[in-house]
Amino acid sequence: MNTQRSPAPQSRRDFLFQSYLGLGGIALIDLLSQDARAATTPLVDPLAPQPPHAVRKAKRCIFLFMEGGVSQMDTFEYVPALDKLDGKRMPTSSGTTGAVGHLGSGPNRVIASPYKFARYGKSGKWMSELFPHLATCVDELAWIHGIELGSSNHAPAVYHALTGNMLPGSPSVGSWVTYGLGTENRNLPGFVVVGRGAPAIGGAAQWGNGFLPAAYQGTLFRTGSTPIINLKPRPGQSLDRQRNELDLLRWFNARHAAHRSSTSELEGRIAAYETAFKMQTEAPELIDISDESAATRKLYGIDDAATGTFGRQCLLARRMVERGVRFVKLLHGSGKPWDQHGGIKGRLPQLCKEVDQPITGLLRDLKARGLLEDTLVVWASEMGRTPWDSNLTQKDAGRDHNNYSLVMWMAGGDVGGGASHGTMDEWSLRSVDEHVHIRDVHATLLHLLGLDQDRLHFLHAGRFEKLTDFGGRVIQEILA
Amino acid sequence: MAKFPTLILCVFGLVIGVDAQETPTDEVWTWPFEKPVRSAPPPVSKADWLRNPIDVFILARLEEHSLPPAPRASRRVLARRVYLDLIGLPPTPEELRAFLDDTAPNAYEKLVDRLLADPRYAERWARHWLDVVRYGETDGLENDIIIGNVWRYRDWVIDAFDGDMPYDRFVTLQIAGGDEVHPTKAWYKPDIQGYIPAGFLRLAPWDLGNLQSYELRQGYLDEVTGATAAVFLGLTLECARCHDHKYDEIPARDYYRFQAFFNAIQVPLPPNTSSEAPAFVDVPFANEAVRARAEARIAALQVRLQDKNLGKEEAALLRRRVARWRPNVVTVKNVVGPPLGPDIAATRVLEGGDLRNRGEAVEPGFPSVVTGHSESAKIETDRYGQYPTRGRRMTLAKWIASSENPLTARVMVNRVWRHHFGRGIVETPNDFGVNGARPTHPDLLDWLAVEFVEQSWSIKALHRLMVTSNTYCQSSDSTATDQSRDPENILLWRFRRRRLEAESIRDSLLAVSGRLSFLRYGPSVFPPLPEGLDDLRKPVRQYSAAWDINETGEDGFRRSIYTFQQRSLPAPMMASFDAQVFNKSCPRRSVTTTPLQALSMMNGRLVNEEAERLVERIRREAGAERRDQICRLFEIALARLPEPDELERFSTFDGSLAALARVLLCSNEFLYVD
Repeated sequence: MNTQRSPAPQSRRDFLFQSYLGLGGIALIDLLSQDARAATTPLVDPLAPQPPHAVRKAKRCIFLFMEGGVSQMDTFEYVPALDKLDGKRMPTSSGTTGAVGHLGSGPNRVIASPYKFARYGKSGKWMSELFPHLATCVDELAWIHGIELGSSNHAPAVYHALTGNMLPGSPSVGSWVTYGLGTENRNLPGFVVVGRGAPAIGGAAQWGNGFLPAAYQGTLFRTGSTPIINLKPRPGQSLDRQRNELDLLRWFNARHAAHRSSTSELEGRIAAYETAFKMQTEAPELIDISDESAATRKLYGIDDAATGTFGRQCLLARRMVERGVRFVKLLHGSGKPWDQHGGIKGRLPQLCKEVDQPITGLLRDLKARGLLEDTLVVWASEMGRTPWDSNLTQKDAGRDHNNYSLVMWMAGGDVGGGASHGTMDEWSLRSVDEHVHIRDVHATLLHLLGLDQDRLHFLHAGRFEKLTDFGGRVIQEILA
Repeated sequence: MAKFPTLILCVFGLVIGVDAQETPTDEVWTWPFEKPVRSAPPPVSKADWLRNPIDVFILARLEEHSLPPAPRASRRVLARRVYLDLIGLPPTPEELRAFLDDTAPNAYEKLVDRLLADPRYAERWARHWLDVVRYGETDGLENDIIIGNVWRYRDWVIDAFDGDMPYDRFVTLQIAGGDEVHPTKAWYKPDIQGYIPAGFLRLAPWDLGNLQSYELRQGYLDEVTGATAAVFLGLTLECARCHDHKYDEIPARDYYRFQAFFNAIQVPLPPNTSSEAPAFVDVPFANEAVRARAEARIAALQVRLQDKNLGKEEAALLRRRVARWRPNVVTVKNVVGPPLGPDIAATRVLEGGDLRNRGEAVEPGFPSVVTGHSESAKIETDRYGQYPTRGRRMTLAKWIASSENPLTARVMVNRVWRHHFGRGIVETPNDFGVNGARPTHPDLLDWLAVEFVEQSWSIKALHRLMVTSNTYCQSSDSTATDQSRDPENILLWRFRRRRLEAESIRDSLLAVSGRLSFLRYGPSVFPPLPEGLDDLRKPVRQYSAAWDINETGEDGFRRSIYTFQQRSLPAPMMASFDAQVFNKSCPRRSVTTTPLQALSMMNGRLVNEEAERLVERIRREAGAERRDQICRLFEIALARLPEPDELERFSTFDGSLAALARVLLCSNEFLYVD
């Protein structure tokens, strides 16, 4: 226990100071010098790579987020019992282990899935016909069924899934991971979000640093020619002239520091300008996919209208992890596309098509390059959906929200391909055994990246805050 | 509340070699709950260093550890420091010259008084307060609906700092504005202006997507309970929502007793969500200039809205502008109560914080950790019992804003101290409890708390005391031989050098270029976003937040406190320099150094445009000679002239004057206060 590592100095420093008065000041100086040794470099270099708490295969993470609440019974959860009830009122709004909130108490009609299900791979995983590509590499994936979240409303559920807290203001998973592990490529941000830019549910708080230092904020990458805000020199400014200016700035800052004591923070800022300068060339090179082969483009579906956008995002994700970005979050579409209150027949197949080939391409590509070994890939949404539609008349039926029925999968690293955990009741309302809570998923994700949920903490407002709050259970069942 | 007893125990044992049984959780921590008293100033040997009582307490600790204080900073350094600290802007060369030329022995004190009387002081210090009260103008969460004209609250805070409103009144109005009870009169109306500060109770994010009204209401009550205790009392009361506090002596029952003070509140919903009469209240503008501006703007906008050829989007934009100038405020009111409506609902202890596990009903009461008992509070009522729902919040407010309350004065003094000295006497300003940081100078904090109350809770008097102390006036560099004994400068043997906050960086850039607008008050403005974020400008739906186009060009150059605080879209440069739009009370911002900050400085619109303006200014003021230009550039940007080697290097630089301007604006010397 005394090998506790606190990745950032603040927590340690704050931590030590709690003892201050209790010691009557006697040990103050000892305490201060201990602290100083502990706190040396990270203060000016918050993103320096940090050793994990435990050795695991996965060193980085690609997090695929499908906003809106993916309908599990049309994709990854085979619910044949619904066929008998199709069009009728749902006999119960309770699963074996409890109700699904206030939903389902009003008039409704059950919607049997219009899609064919079959078993795939050696693991015999049931999947619908909407994911023909992913079905071909199903044995790489480990499944978690019936995950519970705290709210059936989008924004709190999104925050819950991504920050562990239903209210905005807590650090996102990517921030925690970057805080814990730092990043490997200093010329790129450690935590990148690749979205289409249009407003995401809950906005920037989705990838915000919360109470962690701003260095751990997710950086929004745009798919256009300027992936990071302010990445390019202004029109009329050339890189050469800018270099010239930065040389003068460096001289001036060094001169400034030389006349002062305790200059580590000043030196950190001098270094930050150099990193930023390199980022200007490295980031555009990162998004320039012209060097990718035709086969790769095909693999990701880059040149197909339906799969082009997300295909490009997936390819960028590979290029990022290749270059040492620690955490990449991909947002599919914009404006909660997966929120199927209607369109199970019309819209849903489109959405599945948009992501199926790109994600499969990503998995295959990572595997072929040996990157799947040390990259964790996660599929997530903020909730699942109900078997019923409360709209009794619409032609192309939809489904309500269900925060007890999220299905996720993980692949790569120490994930046990083909494994599955969690069994839902016959209507896919709730899990029948113990509840898998989203914090269990978070604990598992951290575990797979070599981080211990209890040791990855930060003292804030009198509490040791952590991603999993009360603590989650590492889901051993899906580990290799 | 996460539990880490083992962890604390082990690290304690490791670091200080004490008996591992002596954990802080076992410690009886009573200091914050005992009324502060002035203790006798400790004896010191270097008496000639003392300038005011603060110095005595500081020097005593320094001498105890054989740390000599740093020499006094030069007047030039001091001027830049106190300008940036008190008004958030650097001195102009002329202001600096006037101060340096003033040979009076009290020149510095006169300067401090001038700055405290400067309206720009209030704009800076109000921003500090907005962090603490989680100020934002949108609801966050899904669709990010605009809360309403919260800027009225922001202007009220600016006015309060401007007029040095006594802190006890400042507190009372934010908790209990509109909740007055009159001891003798019948049919009295609350002071309508009080509804503005009570907006404090409606600033937090709000989940409009949640259709379950009881859950939503409980979430609201939990938020104001936690926020009020953290902001005014420095207590982590929220940790006792689900169970008794793990560290402090706060039973869950006390959490709900505290919450009961808020249970008369009726919360207005935003305009599009409620068909009920909204509890939005029109409160006339107290400031004549603002009223005139509002009327003129609305009249002009109405004329434009008459135009039949207006596009749909443009009309929507104009209507949003009209709405922003309306005098309505976001606030809370009390439920009507009998005979017109039901009485205030009982507050029940919720087991595990769960609305479904409703336990014992409790009456409003103050935390027993402070009062030492669990008796119910005596609620102030009017003489006739005419308004049975009034008085709960006022009772709480009066208890908090009382010289008898051991926490209130200490907590505010500590906040002010933290901004002046860069570190709190208690470094966890929202947590004075057992799990918070221990005070480095408890006697000093107590002395200041007593002084604060005796000076009629004057915040300006507090500033004056702090910034005229010798402790504050030390150099940020020290000749002290053995710094390793206190490398973090906890004991204040030198001034703590620090980076400007995001707002000060932006405001200073605009100030040196000469473009900063000094127009005060009014609806929030929308400085240009970086290129490429245009798709984020538009509202998701009606009433959602939108990064609008400014009404006037000048609005692009207003001080940062007037920038629209959109929870889903914090301005990127601001966010990278640690200024988020806060969702929870932020007692202290982090200070980070990242390459993204460097990118925004090198390539961002702001630095580059202001550098061009600065060059124009220099050409006007210093003529065409490069060396003169460089001298003026240094004077304006850094409040000093270049040294010979700097002049040499800058004048032989192969590049434009704008390039030189950019270098200085990006420099550490510009971004840090010595």
